[in-house]
Amino acid sequence: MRPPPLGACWALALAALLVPAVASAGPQSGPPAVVVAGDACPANGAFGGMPIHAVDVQTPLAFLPWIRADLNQAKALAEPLRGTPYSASQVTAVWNQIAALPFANLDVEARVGGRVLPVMVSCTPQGLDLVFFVYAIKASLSVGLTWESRQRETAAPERQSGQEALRPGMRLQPRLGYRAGEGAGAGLAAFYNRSGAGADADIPYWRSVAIDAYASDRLRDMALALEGGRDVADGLWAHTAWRLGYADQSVPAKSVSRLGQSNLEAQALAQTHPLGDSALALRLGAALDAGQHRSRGQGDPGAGLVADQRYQSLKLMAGTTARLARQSLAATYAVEFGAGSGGARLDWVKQIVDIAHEGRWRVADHRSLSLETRLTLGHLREAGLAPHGARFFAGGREQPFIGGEEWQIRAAPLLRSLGTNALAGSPASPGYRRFAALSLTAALPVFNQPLVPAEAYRDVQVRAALNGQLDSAVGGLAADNRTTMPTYLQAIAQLPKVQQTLAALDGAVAAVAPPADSAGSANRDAFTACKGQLAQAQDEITQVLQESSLTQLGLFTELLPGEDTANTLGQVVALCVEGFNAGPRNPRITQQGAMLRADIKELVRLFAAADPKLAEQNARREIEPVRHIVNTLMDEINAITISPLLMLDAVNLGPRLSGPRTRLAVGTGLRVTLVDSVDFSLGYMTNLRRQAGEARGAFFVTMQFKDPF
Amino acid sequence: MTTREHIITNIKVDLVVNTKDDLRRIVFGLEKVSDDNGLPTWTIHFKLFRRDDKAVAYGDARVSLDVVVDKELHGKAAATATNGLTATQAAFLAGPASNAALASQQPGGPPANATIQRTLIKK
Repeated sequence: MRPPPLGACWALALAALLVPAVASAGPQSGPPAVVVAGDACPANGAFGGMPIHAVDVQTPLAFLPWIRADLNQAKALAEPLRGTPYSASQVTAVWNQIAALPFANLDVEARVGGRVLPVMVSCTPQGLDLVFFVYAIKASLSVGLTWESRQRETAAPERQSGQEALRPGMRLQPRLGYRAGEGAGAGLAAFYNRSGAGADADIPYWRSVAIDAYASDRLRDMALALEGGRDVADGLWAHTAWRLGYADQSVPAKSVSRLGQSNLEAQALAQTHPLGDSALALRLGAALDAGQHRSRGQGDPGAGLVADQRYQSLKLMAGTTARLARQSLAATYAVEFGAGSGGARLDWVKQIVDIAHEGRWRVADHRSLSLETRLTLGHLREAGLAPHGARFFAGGREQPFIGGEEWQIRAAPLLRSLGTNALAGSPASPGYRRFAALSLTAALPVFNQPLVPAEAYRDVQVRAALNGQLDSAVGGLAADNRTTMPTYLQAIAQLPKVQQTLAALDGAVAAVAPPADSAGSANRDAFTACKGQLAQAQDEITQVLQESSLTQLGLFTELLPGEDTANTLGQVVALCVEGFNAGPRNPRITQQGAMLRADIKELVRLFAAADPKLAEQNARREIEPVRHIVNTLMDEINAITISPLLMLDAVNLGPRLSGPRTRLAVGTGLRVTLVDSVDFSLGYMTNLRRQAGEARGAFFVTMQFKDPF
Repeated sequence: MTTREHIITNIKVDLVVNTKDDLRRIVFGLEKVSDDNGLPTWTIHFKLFRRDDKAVAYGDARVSLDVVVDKELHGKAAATATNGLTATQAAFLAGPASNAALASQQPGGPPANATIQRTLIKK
């Protein structure tokens, strides 16, 4: 066996240094948690005058630099309470000041936003401990619900919780890595976020610029992109995005020595709201790509292969994605129509089917066994002159079908036991024309420290309040949804006719008005009550017609008979037709009364047909994924996680040249996530069906740092 | 790991919903504040923003109210904080309760507290 390369050595050494540091930051180093006897705390919360021993302000995303500044300010506001006798008015004043800080603010631009701010008081022998807890919910209802977003969640929960989008400006993310075939490398990703939220959040112009560069002594990879997008609450489409990117890369590849590509890509993506009971969102995308494929291999135009080629291609993608409580899924079909030779004819057609799934099974508090599965199939049809780079090469480096993070489609087989592009066909015919690849990665945390303090995530009242917020959102959206149902709109469209009926009834009543000098008589009182009710009904209908959405729904509901409604129209019948016209005395009032009854009956029928249960079901479907995100942040995300990994890759390539049809790799590794600073993975995969000239296996190390600023 | 027993003296829950037509924004809040003797006061906070053109930013809230919940409705307020608003409650708050609040702000207008608190007893 060859000695491990230098890059792997420093990565292991770094991990060895890192793990004790992480462990020392764990819960063991903090003050031991105490359970105070129930009678030590006044059961009714009468804390007035008791000494305050400690104060703290906590929030799940305290590690974010831009939250930390607010948090420090909040702690400074709370600190003067320490050592003073408990005064509810002083505590409440501080609480209100903390609630006014930006990190605790409600995001009013979100389709649904919420916040929960409890003050938790516990008793210790030294006095009271006060904790001001801040949980502001801002969850995207579209991009936050994809398989891709779930992948980012463990290492970067701020992106899922929406907090990152609130911070405009520059972010830098350095990274280090080692992979067989590439050697040790370093890179930097820089993002400039123009404004993710606020008044111009809906403007579909550019929103961010991203630059990503990574290089080792055998590889360089650079990408520059301008991105934009918007979320839409109404209609079928929930999210649309565009990206204009330039990329240039040169990577090692057996059989051809190197593969390179430089290209300009313009892409547009669209995603629907979650559809159906399983809350699957559909995605469609298209990308126009133009550039150059380069290779150091030998071209063979007679066999339809060229080393270098300028090209244009059209990529089309369709798929679905879902994020359920403990599962996330993405399935994609993608096709590329490529043309070299000046674009005069179609030279190749590449088809990809990519299915990704992640499941998590809880084994202990904040510890879940996660299993990531990826099945990818690829087929290339060469109709004319195809460049080497269009073919499939297998190895330890992932190759995306399109640029960007929003929709991640694997475009080549992953075999982590070999170096980058190490399975590369033969020099005479580099690459492959079809493949099937399966990758499994299982991880189980053996050490963790929850992101959210146990006092908050285990507190029944805090959890109930969070759930109550989400249920309120369901209620609000259900009311809003109901107002878009066809039969509801028909009911609203009936209201001008009801106003005509009321006007006709008013005329009939006026025609038999009691003499003005009969004031105080029962008949005159009934007449006055009827006329007042008629005017009120006309006025309320006018208001309904001027309003929209749930404001309109609330006013409309009050017109009709129902549980605890004003029943304004029913009262017109009661006061004018059954009251003033008792007898009956006037056939015209009787006739108009019958018409009004018929109108009410029709309104009730149409309103009932706008099924509130269906409206709620749709609202729940919209909110449930957000509930999953909130629950994941509370119950699963850790500030520190150390997880051993088990990995398996199986790759089948065609046409078969020699050796086994299916290549297999198994291995193990370690993933360390410090949510505030670094996401680190290392592993070794064994090459189970080793062929002549191949290594026994391959190390890989990746280390992604958080923005230090 | 054990956690300390504690009591939540104050809690603030706020919710914002922007309607599908993007012409209405509703902000609803429930707040519990306990005094030195542990006695709670529940307050409903409500703001309604309205605009006719979604290209124009919302101005000041059309309705903005803070209503102290009567003691006999504290149980309902706590239940609403825990269970959330129903669709009927949300629509009532945005419609009749807002209208009552607007009317109360007129000179000599009738008090709106009773109407607004009816939100809590709606199902």
